[in-house]
Amino acid sequence: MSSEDLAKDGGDSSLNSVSKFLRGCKLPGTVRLTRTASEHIARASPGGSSPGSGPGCVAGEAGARRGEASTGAGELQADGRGLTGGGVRGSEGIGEGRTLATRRGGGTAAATNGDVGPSGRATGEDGGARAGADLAHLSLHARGRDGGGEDGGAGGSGRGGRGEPRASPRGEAHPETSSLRSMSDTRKAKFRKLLDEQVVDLEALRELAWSGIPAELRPVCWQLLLGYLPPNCERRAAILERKRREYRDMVPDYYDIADRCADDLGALRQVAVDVPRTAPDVPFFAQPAIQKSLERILYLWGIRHPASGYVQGINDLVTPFLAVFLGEHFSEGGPAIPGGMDGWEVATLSEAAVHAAEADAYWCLCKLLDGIQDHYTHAQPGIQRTVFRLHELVRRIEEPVTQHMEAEGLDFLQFTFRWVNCLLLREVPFALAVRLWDTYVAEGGRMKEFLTYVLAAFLLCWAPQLRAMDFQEMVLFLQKLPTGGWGEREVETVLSRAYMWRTSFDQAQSHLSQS
Amino acid sequence: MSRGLSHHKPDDDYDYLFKVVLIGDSGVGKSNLLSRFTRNEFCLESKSTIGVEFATRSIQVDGKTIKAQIWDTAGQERYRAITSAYYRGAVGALLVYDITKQVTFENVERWLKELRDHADSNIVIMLVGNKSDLRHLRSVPTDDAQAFCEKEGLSFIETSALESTNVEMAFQKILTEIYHIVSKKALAAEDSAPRPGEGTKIVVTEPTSETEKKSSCCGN
Repeated sequence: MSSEDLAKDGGDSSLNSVSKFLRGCKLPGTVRLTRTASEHIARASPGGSSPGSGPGCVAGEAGARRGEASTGAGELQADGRGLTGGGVRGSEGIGEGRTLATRRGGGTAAATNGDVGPSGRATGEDGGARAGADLAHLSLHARGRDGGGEDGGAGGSGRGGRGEPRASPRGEAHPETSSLRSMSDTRKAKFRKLLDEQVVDLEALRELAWSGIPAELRPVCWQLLLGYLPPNCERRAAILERKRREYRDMVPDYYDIADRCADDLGALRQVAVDVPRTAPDVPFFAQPAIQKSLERILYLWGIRHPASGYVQGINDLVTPFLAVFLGEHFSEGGPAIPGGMDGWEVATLSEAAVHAAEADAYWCLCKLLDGIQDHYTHAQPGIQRTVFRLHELVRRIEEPVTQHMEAEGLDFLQFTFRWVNCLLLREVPFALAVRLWDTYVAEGGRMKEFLTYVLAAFLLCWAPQLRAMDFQEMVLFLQKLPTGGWGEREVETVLSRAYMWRTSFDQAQSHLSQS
Repeated sequence: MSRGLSHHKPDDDYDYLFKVVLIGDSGVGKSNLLSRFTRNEFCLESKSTIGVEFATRSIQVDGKTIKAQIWDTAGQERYRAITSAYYRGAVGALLVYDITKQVTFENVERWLKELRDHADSNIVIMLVGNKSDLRHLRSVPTDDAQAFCEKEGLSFIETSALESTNVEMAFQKILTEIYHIVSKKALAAEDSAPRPGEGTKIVVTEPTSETEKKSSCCGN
């Protein structure tokens, strides 16, 4: 985090940034703050403290649908059921039968988990979160032993995971459609209601956004949740104007200059090498105007964050922002991404529109990276720590797989380094990056800690395959995982499991001691 | 120096396993040299390597099957702390620069220092001038690189991963060189301390059928 960012962002967020930064740097601090975060979750999570939300919590927590928490127990319950199906059982569906989803499946999932609900409620408000986590954990393990062959499991999970074609609070079923959860009208209405407030309730938005943001509301939601836009709508236009102007002024000061010192020249060279190979599988980014935007953003970010400078892979991290902020101009309320970015000709946009999106992308990148700058400083201590924690976590969850990997001499750092460095963006199709981003952005200051759980859930998708492989096979497999056919459902399964595990392990931090 | 391991698995038979690292500035084409050698693939706009990536291929040298385990590393300086850990145990290094970018050649000295600091002292190093297809953009004369290599005692070759020129040759050459050193050492060790019952260094019968099998499965 650069000192000038501190100066410009003003008091609160500066302090926040400092604490985030410190958290990353000091081990004792990390542990302490993690605890704080877990307390925070306990307070903020649906079942943690809100009276009467016990059942929803059981399923809802497990399935990671925190989003519905504030909307009442009945709805919460319904959501929870649906998602438990997606979260726990959905894992079976990965890589197979993605189109199996049926209403019957969704119904099955809901019915099964409905049994869990009432008993969970009986545990009362206080034990809600913990009971939820434990039950979820148990059900996961049970699933593991059974091999997960429940009827409708694979198909139902898909629908359940999206949470739409399930019983609504009033008992009517949503029509079976192929629409994504983020597209549902009721969800959209909830977002709009929050966004229409004079002062947006960021915590409520966070909870809702965690499970995916409707495409057309993504830009504003990301910007609010990252703290780029203020919650007060009256101040938004002025701030946006000021930040965009600030960025515009930086360009001539830092970028459009003839003489550079050797270090800056090296930085520019590095950026220039990486820009043409940024998301090369997405033609959108190959457009000359986008390439220029990328170059400016990355170079400026590096220059203004001298503790790390530009590091390869940060070029990947800016792509969701550029795509979403520019996408606003191409998608007229429809699905921006993953609906496809074909025909998005940046040349057809006004220069001002491109510059505005570029500036927004720059500032949002700053905000996203503020919390993880130690991923990119010398020797990348943040990544090393995350990988260490991941190893410990995976050992706790799936000891046999971990033992097998260790016996084969496979070092976690070898294959997870890129995962952490690029926040998993390289491991999934680009269209899913924005969905990952929804959750990361919603996690806010806890994103770094949550990432460990996401990575564990991602890795363990392949646990059965890995156990049958030797060292070489594992390395080659993990370098290029078969995620090409993944959709939102698979990503959401990973996120749900991550949420569930965090809920479990946050109660027992000593399992993951940093040593 | 780690040596070739004699290791036998029915589907993966080899006489020696050599670990080789690919190093050099970012964007010089390390990953494409690797994919050309191991999979006969080239991708003009491949993503940057983050951390390390790995691939293998077996070749025949003097009737022996040599399995090369090649570690491709990220080029950016920031990654050195991570990537240099992979130098340990490497018996060979391909130090790659881009013949169209003078600065990548100038940085070769820094890379040599990296190897001196982190790799085994007797690692075999080959300097590789890549992108030789971009003749019109050349900024590093072959003679300069050649002279530098003579001074430093390195082998040298110019390649084009895009046109598939000399890629096979580069790997063949460095692996052969490593093989000769390793086998000479083994012989020397044997001469100084002969042990009864272990004197069968020259095996001529066994590998002949394998030679054909291997060369067909190596792609290209």
